[in-house]
Amino acid sequence: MIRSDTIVASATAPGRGAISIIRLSGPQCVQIAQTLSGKLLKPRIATFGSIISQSEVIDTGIWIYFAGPHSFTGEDTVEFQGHGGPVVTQTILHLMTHLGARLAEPGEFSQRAFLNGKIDLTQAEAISDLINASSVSAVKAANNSLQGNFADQVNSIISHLITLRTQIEAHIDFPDEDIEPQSINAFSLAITDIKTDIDKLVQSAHEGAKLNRSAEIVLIGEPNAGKSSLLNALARAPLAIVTDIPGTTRDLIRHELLIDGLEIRITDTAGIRSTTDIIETEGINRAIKALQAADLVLCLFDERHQQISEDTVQNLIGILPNIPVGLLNTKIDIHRKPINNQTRYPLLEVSSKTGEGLPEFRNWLLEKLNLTTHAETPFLARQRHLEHLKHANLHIKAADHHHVAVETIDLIAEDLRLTQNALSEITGRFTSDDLLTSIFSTFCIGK
Amino acid sequence: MDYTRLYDVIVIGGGHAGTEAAHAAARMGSDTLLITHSIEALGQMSCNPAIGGIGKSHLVREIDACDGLMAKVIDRAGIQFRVLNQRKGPAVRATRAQADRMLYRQHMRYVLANTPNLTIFQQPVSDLLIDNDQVKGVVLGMGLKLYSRTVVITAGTFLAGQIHIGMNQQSGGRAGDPASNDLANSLRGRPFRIARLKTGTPPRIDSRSVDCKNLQEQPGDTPTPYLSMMSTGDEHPQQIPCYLSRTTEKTRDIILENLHLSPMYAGVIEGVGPRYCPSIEDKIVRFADKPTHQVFLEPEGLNSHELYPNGVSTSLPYEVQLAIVRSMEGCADAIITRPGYAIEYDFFDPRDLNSTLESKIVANLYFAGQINGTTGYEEAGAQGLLAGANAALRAQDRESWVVGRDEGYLGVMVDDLITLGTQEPYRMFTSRAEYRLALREDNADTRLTEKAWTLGLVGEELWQKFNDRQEQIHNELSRLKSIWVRPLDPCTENLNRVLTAPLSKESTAHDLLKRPEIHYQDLVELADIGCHSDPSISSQVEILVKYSGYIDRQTDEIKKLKKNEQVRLPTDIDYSKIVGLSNEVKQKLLDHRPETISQASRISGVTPAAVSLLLVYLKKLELSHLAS
Repeated sequence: MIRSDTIVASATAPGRGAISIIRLSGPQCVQIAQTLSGKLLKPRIATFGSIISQSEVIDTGIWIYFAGPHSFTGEDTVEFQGHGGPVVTQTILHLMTHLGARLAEPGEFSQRAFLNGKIDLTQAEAISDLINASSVSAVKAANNSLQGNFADQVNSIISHLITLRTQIEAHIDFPDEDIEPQSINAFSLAITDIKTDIDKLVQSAHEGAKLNRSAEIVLIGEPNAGKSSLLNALARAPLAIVTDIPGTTRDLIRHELLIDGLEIRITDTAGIRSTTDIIETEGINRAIKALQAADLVLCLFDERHQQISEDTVQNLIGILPNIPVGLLNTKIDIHRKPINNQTRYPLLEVSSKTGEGLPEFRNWLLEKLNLTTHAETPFLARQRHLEHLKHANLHIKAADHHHVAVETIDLIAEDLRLTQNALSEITGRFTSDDLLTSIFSTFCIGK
Repeated sequence: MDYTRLYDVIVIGGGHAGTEAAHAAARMGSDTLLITHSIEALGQMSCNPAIGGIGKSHLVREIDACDGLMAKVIDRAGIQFRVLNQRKGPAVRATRAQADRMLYRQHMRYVLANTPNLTIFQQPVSDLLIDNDQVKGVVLGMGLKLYSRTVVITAGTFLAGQIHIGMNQQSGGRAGDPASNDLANSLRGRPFRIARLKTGTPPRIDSRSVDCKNLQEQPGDTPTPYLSMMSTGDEHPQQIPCYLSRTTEKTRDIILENLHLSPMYAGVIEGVGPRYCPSIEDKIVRFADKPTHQVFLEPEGLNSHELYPNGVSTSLPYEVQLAIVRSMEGCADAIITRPGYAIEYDFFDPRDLNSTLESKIVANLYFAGQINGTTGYEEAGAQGLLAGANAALRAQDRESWVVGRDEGYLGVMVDDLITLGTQEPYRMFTSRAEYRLALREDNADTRLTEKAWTLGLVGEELWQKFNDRQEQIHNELSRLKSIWVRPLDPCTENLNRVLTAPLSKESTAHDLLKRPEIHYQDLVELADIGCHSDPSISSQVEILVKYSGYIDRQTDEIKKLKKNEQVRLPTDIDYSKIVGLSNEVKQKLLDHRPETISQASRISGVTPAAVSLLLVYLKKLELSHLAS
């Protein structure tokens, strides 16, 4: 869709690197920058400044304004180069959307650049691929955000809204029909209820936005396969006690690691295998739970394995989950004889001790976890959902504000339509025909 | 009729679409021929004797804003007028008129017979002359060929019409008129996508056999409203009331016992009927726990004893119809004058049309009315206007006319039809219009008259009236903006009694009117600033001021979307070549062949990502074109 609004996104991969760049594109970008920095930016001149919100300095860095068409997207563009960090970046994005920018869809900057003739023809296929890949990851991330309690509450709000709109629109479009006249008071109460529900959801969703876990990884391997050493190597600091006696990590151990500034939670487990040991059974049950919540599973093998078959893997992780699985040999420094991989999973080889292969392994991890620049994270998806909820909230407040006078029912209906449009951004399109279907299945219409 | 002449526009059909189409083309100066199977039946109301209603009256006003016929004719033929939703806000207010069928036909025929540039000829049409995917004229039932630059086809329910009463079926275009089977057969032989729809009508009752004493009377409004800008209210014939009867428990039992005799339930009818206008058997089955359904007894005319029982459309056998009617309140001794029936007919997939209602398959051929899958006189008339005007524009080699979703219900309807198609007879509802607040009955002229004038649709008299009205609205707005009220003015004390927050600073009357709690009438009286002499002007001004916030927001939204309207998708685009589109989306785009990016985005299943891919593909085409 051609949209001429102002979009914003982090231009650097989440967490990676020493600086973070936030990019705004569209007609409002200079104005937003001016509000946040208190400075009037001049084209192509780097301006040192802070981002201040409620007299608190959020971050300090460099602002650069590229006036369209001489910018990456061909529109007016502003970049802020700051110190970054996930929390600061999110706060800044939040401030900017509050001032009228919209979180960019994945790939939207490149798309605008292409449509404005800033990227040449040879890139067309690449842009198409990018849009495709991004929309796949966006759908996945949105599904992740739309789970459990949050989804239940959103759906309940939408269903109340549809019921109310069905009543009001039937009241408008079929005045001569045999419809039990709903009192205006009942409409009023229903509007207030929906407003309260949206308010509550926005609040709790904010509190619960501890979604900034970037990813969950489960590490499975036989005792002494090198899990703890790997963790230490990845974290570049001792985390788990590393000994040579098998069984040290019998219980589940959770570690929160920062890899390239990204928070990754790793659960360390001995694997799923049948045992009579009560303590170990409990450990295995926990491992199964951890597997269900995981984004990725890593199976560790060492020099004791000459070959790995599908059975070997299944013995370790039980029923194969629908998430990426990687096989990992962590001790290539000890044993150089190649392992024969007969499974469909990739085998990655590193040395926790010397660090050999670790950079490649990290990149593989980030890619599999969808943490590359263009991918949508569940956190971002939730941010989008929250924004739509806030828009919905504005409109339902307007409806509530009308004190539901009979004579302005057309205005209230409009506010409710806008509320529904905002919510539809979360759960999918609700058309006027869907509304009519609801009316016809609720009421006996037919003069 | 001169068979040697090359007409500019030939209109097939003299129903509500055909008459508007022919009149529009003739108004624009095109040499127009209207061919009907019966001159007596011009402007015939085949179903209920009423014009207008929610959503529909908006269309009637839009036709009127372009100087069309429907509003003017109903103002002379209406025998009961009401404004619906009077107190639900101006955007959803709608006028509805009961019609005297005979008067309606008479006036329609009189106007058409006296229209310059318009020739009327009675003959069935059996085929179209098509050469190289372009229409050249028509073949008449008697074998004669007539040539024209453009053809508008408005065949209503006549194409392969099949009438059902009980298990009995016969061919017919409506009760008493033959179907157009030759034309249907020849059209079926061409590459149009054709499907079947169904609609129904109730039996008619002799009013002398109904006991109205205990039925609720439903009088018209006083003063009697009118629909045309050119009317004054003096055109109305005598006004008479309707009555409200109800079905009873007995009605329900009769229907449930005889359901196996209904062609709908016995599976004889394949066409899909409208959900909003179900037969009485449908209502009883679908809403089984509802003990009674209302039935409006609507008079068919001043010189007719027939009543139209609105609400009991049925295709059950005659014996059952009689039992049903006699089980209704006040109808124990009722006599049926004509049986009710269901009718199935061919309709043409409107996705094969573009937004001027021209066929995408055969050039210079336009489709309007029920043939496009709609229902209702108003829907048909509005399409007729658009198709007739565009046929004339084509014949005159002028640029075509498209009505946007933001400009009128006509635009909403045509866009819905051509982008989404329809699964049931399409009827207008206000909830279909996303810009409902801007598309009001009261401002159809502001939205359309100026454009219609440039097309040549609008006569001098209406144009004068329109300009005069616009000027008065403008002047009244300026006057309110120029009047200042100060907190210490003597009138402020009066005003404060009405205002929720007392006046704290100097304000204009215009600003005060923006407050929801104060109406124009209160304002001018309390502030003693005099009012405009024409209530329709002051009410227009009040709406403009009070709704300005919402309307400004909609205007912004419209502006943003305009960009997408302007990006056209080439008709020969090969969707299968677009990398990344899912097969489902490709198929949908192939089926719908949208004209613009905006239309594509409204097709269900076409995701924003798919639209992005389309845009990138279009840009790529443009760049490779530049490169070569």
